[in-house]
Amino acid sequence: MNKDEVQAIVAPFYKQALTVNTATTPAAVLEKILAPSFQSINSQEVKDKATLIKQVGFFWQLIPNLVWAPQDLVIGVDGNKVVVRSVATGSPKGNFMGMELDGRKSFKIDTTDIHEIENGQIVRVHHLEDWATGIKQLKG
Amino acid sequence: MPQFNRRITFTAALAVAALCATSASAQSMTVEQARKQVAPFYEMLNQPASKDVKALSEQALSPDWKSYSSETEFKGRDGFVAQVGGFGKLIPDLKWEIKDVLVDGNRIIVRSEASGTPVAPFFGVPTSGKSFKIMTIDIHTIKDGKAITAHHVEDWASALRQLSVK
Repeated sequence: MNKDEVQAIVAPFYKQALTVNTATTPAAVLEKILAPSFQSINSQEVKDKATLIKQVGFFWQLIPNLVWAPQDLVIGVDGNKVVVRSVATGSPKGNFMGMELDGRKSFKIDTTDIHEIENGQIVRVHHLEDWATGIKQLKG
Repeated sequence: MPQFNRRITFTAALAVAALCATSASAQSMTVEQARKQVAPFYEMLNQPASKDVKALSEQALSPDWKSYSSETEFKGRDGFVAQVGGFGKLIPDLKWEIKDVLVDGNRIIVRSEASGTPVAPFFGVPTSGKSFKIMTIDIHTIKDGKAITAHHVEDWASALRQLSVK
């Protein structure tokens, strides 16, 4: 896959699903770009497609100004793995990671994801967000 | 004129050769070569107290290497050596196990699993004898055989959660 083909698959993940917008919904976008067997993996757990769609929908409610802006995209030489480094920003309103927030405090954190792509869809993502810094910013 | 043409052709051939060489070197690193390239870096992060971290850093990192924890915040080589030395005292059994390596031109992406058992308070969490195991991802950029930048993210929030569990 070349960079344009990869962009076409992963850009909507960030710009339309993880960034709150009025043009679409996380479910509509993620239904299309995530494979049925999709797995979202972090240090704690493995989420399936339905669980991730639900979680992103919850994020839209809790962080109405959520923006996930890709800064760098690297395509591995084997062609099916793509690394995206982003900056995520937002001002949660409600209970977020055990904190009661009123939307006046914001976070701005680095995130890095490694996507695996098969047949034009994302089948797996290892994702990492610097929530330790995010929590510090929201508590500060 | 023929002489001039020949010179043009020769210059063009040189330019093409140079381009091919650049392209070849950008594409030539295999995952195995990338693993060797970054090995001294991860050697530093495995039981650092038992390693010569400074020597390994000089082997792996250019003198003006920058390690970015965000778009704007970074540490230099000496700051990193000091931090790793601190980790060595705080987490003597620190292990940084490489799980996946990707290569794109002069960039190497490494996904690892970092684990350890702090022997003193860790980011405000009292010592409990508990261990953490978290995901980390680093994006290294290599120039002339040494790393010049790293963008890194570690899941320290999960580490703190794991260490705080009653």
